[in-house]
Amino acid sequence: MRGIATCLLAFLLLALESPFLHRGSVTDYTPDLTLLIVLYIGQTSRLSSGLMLALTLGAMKDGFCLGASPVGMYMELSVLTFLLSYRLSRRLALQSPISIILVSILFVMGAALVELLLSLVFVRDFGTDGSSTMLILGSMFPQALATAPFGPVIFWLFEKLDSYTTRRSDLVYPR
Amino acid sequence: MRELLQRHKEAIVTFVAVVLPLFLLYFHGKNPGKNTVVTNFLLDVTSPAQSASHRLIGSVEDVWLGYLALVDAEDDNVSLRDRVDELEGIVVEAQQLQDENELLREELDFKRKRKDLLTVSAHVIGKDVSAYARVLRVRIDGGTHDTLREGMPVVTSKGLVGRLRQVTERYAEVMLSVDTRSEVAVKVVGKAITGMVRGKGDKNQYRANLLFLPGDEELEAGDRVVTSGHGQVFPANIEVGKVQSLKERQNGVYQQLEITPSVRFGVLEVLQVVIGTRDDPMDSGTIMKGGKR
Repeated sequence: MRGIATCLLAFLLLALESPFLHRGSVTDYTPDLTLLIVLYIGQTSRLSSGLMLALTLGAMKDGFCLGASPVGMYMELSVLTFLLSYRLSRRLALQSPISIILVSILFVMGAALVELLLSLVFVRDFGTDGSSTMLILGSMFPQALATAPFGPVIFWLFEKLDSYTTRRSDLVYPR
Repeated sequence: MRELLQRHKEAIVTFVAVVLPLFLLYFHGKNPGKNTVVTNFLLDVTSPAQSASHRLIGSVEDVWLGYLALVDAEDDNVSLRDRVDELEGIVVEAQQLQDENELLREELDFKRKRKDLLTVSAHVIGKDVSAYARVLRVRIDGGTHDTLREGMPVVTSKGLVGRLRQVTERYAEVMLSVDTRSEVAVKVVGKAITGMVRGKGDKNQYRANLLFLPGDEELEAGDRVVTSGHGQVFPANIEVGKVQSLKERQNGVYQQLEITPSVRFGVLEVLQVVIGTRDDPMDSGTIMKGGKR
C-alpha cells in the first residue's frame, strides 16, 4: 500500500514538474525530485522493499527523461542513492530542514559525479568533445542548489503520505 | 537452496537492483537512438501523463491569468478612463487647431488675392453681445501702436466687417457694417447699379439695407453686393452681402432693399484691418503688426 502510494505520488510529481517549470520559464536547473524521494525512502524503508521502490522510481525518471539520457541511468542512480541513504540512516537522523538541505546538496552533487562516471563508461560518444562533461560538472552545483530547498518539502509530503498509508499493525510502536 | 536464497535474500536483491540498471545502461548506451521494448513501454506509460499534466497546468494557468486580469480590471478601467479623458482633450485641442489653421489659411489666401491691400491682422478679443445673442461690437488686439487709425476698414476673407471706431494704443473697437451708423458705398456685381448699404441695427438678425437709385436693370435675390471704392473709405470689390428680399421700399429718392451680410459676425476670430493700398504713395510695403514694414 505504502509502495503504491509512493509510486503514484512520485509519478504525479514527475508528470507535473516538467510542464510546471517550463511554463515558469525555469528550464536550466530543474530540481531532482526523484533523488529527494529516494533519499527519503532510504531513511524510512527496509532494504528489499526500498530497493524495489527506488528501482521503480528510477525507471519512472528514465521514462520522463527519454532521449536526454539512456534508459538505466536514473535507475542506477536511484539504487545507489537508496543504498547510501539506507546505510546513513543508521548513523544520521534527518530531522531538521537544514540537515535535509545539506544532505540533499551532497547527494545531488554525488549523483552528478556518478552520472558523469556512468556516462563515460557506458554511453558511446559521450565526452569525445568534452562539452558534455563540462555541462554536467558546470551544472552540478546550481542543480544541487535548485534541488536542496525542495528536500524538506518532499520529506514533509511523504511523511504525511506514510501516516495515511501505513497500517497501525505495521508500526513498530503502535500509537 | 531455498534456505540459501532466504538467507541471502537482501544480498541477491541488492545485486539484481545494482546490476539490472547497469545492463540496461550498457545496452541502451551502445545504441542511444534505438527503440527497445523497455523504451517503448516507458514511453507508453509516461507520455499520457505528461500530456495530461500539460493540459492541466495550461488550464490552471488560464484560470489564474483570467482571475488576475479581473483583479486588475478595475485599476485598468480607471486608468483607461483617465486616458480617454486626456485623449478627448487632445482631440478637442486638435480640432481647434485645425479650425484655426483653416481660418488662417483663408486669411492668407485673401491676402494673396488682394495684394493691392496693405493689411494688419488682429485677433478678436471681445464681443459686445445683445440680448438676442447678436454681436453688436467687436474689440480687437490692435491699436495705434500697430498703425491702426479710426475709420480704417476691417475685413475678413469672407468680406467686409466694418470699420474701426475707437482706437487706443493697444486695442480698437470695430463698428460692424450692420450698425445703424454704418454707411458703405457699394455696387451690384454685374449690374450698373450703385448705392449705399446702411446697417439696420436689428437685434434679432444681421441685416442691412441697400439704398439705390432705380435704373433700367432689375435686381434679383442673391445678387452680390461689393464695395464700390467711392468715398475713399473702403477699398473696391470687398464682398458686402447678398440681396435678400426683393420687396422694395421708397426711402426719399432711393429705393430700399434688404441684404444679408456675407460675414458671420458671431464667429469672428481673426480680422484684417486695411491700413492702406499699394497705390498710396505713403504705403509701399507690407506692414506687420507693431508697425514694422
